[in-house]
Amino acid sequence: MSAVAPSGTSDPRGRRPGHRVVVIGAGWAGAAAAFAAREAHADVVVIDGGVGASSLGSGALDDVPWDDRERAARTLGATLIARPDPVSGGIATDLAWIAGVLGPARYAVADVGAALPIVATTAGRLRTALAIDAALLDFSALPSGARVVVPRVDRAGWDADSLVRILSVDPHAMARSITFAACDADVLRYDDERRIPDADMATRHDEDARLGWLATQLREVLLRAGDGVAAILLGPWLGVASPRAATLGAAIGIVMGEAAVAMSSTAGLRFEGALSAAARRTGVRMVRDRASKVEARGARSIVHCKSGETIEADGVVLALGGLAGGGVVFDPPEHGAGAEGADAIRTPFRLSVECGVRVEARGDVGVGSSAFGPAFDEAAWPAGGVAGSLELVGLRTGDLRDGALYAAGDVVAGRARTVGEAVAGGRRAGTAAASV
Amino acid sequence: MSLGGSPPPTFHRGDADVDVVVIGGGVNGVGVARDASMRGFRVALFERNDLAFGASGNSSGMIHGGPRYLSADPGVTESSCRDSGHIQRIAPHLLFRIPFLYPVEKSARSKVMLTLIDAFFQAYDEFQPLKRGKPHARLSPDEMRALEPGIRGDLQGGVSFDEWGIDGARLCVANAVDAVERGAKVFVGTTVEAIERREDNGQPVAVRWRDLRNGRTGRITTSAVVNATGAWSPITASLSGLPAKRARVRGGKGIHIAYDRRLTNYAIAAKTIDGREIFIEPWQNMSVIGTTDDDYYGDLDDVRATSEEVRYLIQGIARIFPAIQEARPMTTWAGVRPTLYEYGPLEDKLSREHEVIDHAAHGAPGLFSMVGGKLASYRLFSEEMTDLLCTKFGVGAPRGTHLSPLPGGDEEIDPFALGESLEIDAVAARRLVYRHGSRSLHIAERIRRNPRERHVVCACEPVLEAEVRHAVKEELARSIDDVSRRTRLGLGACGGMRCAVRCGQIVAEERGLPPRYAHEQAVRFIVKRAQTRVVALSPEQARQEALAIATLRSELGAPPPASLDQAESEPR
Repeated sequence: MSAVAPSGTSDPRGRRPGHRVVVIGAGWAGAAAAFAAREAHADVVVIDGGVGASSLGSGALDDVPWDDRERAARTLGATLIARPDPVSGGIATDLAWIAGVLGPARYAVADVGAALPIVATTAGRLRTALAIDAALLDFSALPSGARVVVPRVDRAGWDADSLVRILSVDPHAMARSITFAACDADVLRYDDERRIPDADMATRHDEDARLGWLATQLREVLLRAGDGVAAILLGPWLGVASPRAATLGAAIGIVMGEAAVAMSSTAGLRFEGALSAAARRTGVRMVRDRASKVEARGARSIVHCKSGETIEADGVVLALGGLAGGGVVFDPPEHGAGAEGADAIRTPFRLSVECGVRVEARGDVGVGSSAFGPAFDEAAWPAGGVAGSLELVGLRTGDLRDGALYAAGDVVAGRARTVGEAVAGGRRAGTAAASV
Repeated sequence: MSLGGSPPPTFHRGDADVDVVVIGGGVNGVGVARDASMRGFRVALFERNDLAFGASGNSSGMIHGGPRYLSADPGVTESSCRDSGHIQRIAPHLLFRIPFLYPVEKSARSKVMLTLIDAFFQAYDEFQPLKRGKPHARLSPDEMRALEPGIRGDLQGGVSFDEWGIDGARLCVANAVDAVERGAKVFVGTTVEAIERREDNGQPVAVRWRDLRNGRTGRITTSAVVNATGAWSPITASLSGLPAKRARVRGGKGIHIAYDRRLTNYAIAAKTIDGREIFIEPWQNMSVIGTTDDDYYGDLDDVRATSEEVRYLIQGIARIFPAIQEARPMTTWAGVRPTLYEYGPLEDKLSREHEVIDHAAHGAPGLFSMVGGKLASYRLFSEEMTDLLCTKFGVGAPRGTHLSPLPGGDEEIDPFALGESLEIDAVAARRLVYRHGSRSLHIAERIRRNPRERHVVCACEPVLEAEVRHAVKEELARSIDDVSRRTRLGLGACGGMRCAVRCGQIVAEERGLPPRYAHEQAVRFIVKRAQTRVVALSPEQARQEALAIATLRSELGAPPPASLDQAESEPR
């Protein structure tokens, strides 16, 4: 067990240490809160119930929804650069900060005023982001007129010919005269690799020898593809422990990178790995447990865990995640109520941790005046720039116990569900919790 | 023929572009198209949306004998049972047995009730041999609970009886494909804008059509027009200049809720709070609750279940099977029954009989409307319609739709052998054989030509790439939605997040459309599926929805405004 507190205490669950911040949640918001509190010299404990929505992140990190930004830029005729305005400029700074904490060569963040990175999604779109996982292929860095090869690989989620067809007509590609070509490739070493998940493929490329083999195979692809190839676009298979795109690219002498995928992404796994390593490095204590309840005891808080342990804290950061991440739970009273219906009519959403804070559900999904639960018929999903109520639901920060409870990330009601928001909010919350 | 009167209608095959235009791609429309094509008519069929878009593809998925009609309408029960037997013969691959339990709750009169019900099903047993059904059994409360441990409540006892399940959309597709193979022209996504009639005697001479997706229009001449548009019937009649009331139906909306996996061993009958009979049935790889029956006054092209209807059904099922409250609903569907018109009775009391209206009586000889009916008797209804066409045209062709197998129904295929030979998952192979019967060999042939096509596109169902391509090439699918209707792609818990884009790419590719079309279609499909799910949201599914929204935002961008969503244009 690593010593974490400035006083040198070794057991955060035992003797009373110095000023302690407990962060509940180990996604982007929790990580930012923990590192920020640690930088402010607090004794930091992260209760890590597993990385929720952050582990499903695509590795393309946004400040505002990227399609909103692109739509606005199209309307205004503006160029897509990282802007020094108070919102995204601030978030860019926060992303650069956490990228620094998480370790070198893991994330690339656009400098204010610089062109935004552009990545391909496996769905076949080119999209901007404010920062990207370093394993993703950044199209904004390719020269105009670049030729990108997409290897044909016999896997269900990867149809190179389809990708080439659709990426070729993408506005970002056309604006830069980037062209695509599918090319036969022999990059599956074992028969099971036609079927195993992307993450397992990526894990195999953590190994140097295997990466070397892949480099040999891709050199063949380059020979076949002819001259003038600027980059190779691969699936999300380039390492789990760390992004291997740069090493692979250096070995072949060409830019190499992954396409982004949201569900079951390997970028999410790489985030988890980076977080654990940075926590060890900075002395943030990670506890594998689930918080169940936060109680006030005088000026301090007691955090109860599912394991039965309790942790005392001077400040608590709720970074539980939203509905997707599991911090907000949809728990309608009629669920499991049996033949007679619900005993009590109450709001159908709650936090996964009991802490006396109400959950705010917008539109027609609150408790309303229905005895049979909420009606989701219209407002649940986003439409036309209006966010869906299922993404907005979260806790009201106004209800937080002043000076003891802080919240950050998707658990907060009504904020954009972006990594940038989570990091900026987490950093603020962590700093505040450390300085009570 | 009297001088000065209007000339009599003429029905000669070969006089016009086609002999018969059928409007409507539901089970009755495709049934007539098939039957008429078999008997030598040249047929064109126009469907405004997709095959099985309306009631046919949104039914309870049973060709049951209709025991509920036995006391009021024994004729419906008999014809349904008889035709259910015929359908089993011509499409054995599409049928699966659904044994039912009918529990009787204890009450002051429940002993008498159970005896009456026992006697009732004894009468129903008479019809069971017509459809290879098993006779009923009277069961004690303990026997009921032993058969179905999830049953709760204070029971007097119950009975078992036997029905057959079917995928209504597959049945429509099989009929349409057979009609096409026999020379019929089938146009989906193509609406009829006008039925032109002769001024002198009112006989139809042509229909004007418009392809709703690319705006192309045209005109086709014909001697007869069959209006088989179900709940749309009065609208279709109006296109000929006839008053809408000449083909009036009483549209009854029915919704279903589908749950992940089979929750019960048997289908269980239950009662709603207002005493209506509903059920939960294991159906293919899921459980289905149905159904409501409410007069419908809305848009027929956009019929959706509401949270209210969902709660009403769940309340009824929870009384006898409370575990339903903890199960995970995955989707809902809704359709409008084209019930025979009558003013006054409650919806459930309306007759399920069918009727061919010969509009000669309204001054439009050669125009016919098929109203009423049910899935189980579509073949018979279509045969009656085609018999009438034969009479009008003076053709003596023999009936044959009860003998000649539908596509895929001619030969039994061993799914395990197929799976092994194609190196595909046994479950995928089994589902493939269920949907396509012997036509799964056509799909296998595709995979042998191009092994890439054995990859799974939709893992929930599962659906292979080759099957998606087959649906576009051979089964008239034009969109992701159409493919979903034919293969059940995208109906699982993930809501199409893993398959919609890929399917859209394949559809665009097969149809020669620009690749960007795949993204537009995928977003539209995903949002439409979501709308059918969120009315029945469970805790697990709520989390899945939030995840799906995040995924969509990350990979494709948020959905456009609803107004843009309506425009379903595609390049010519």
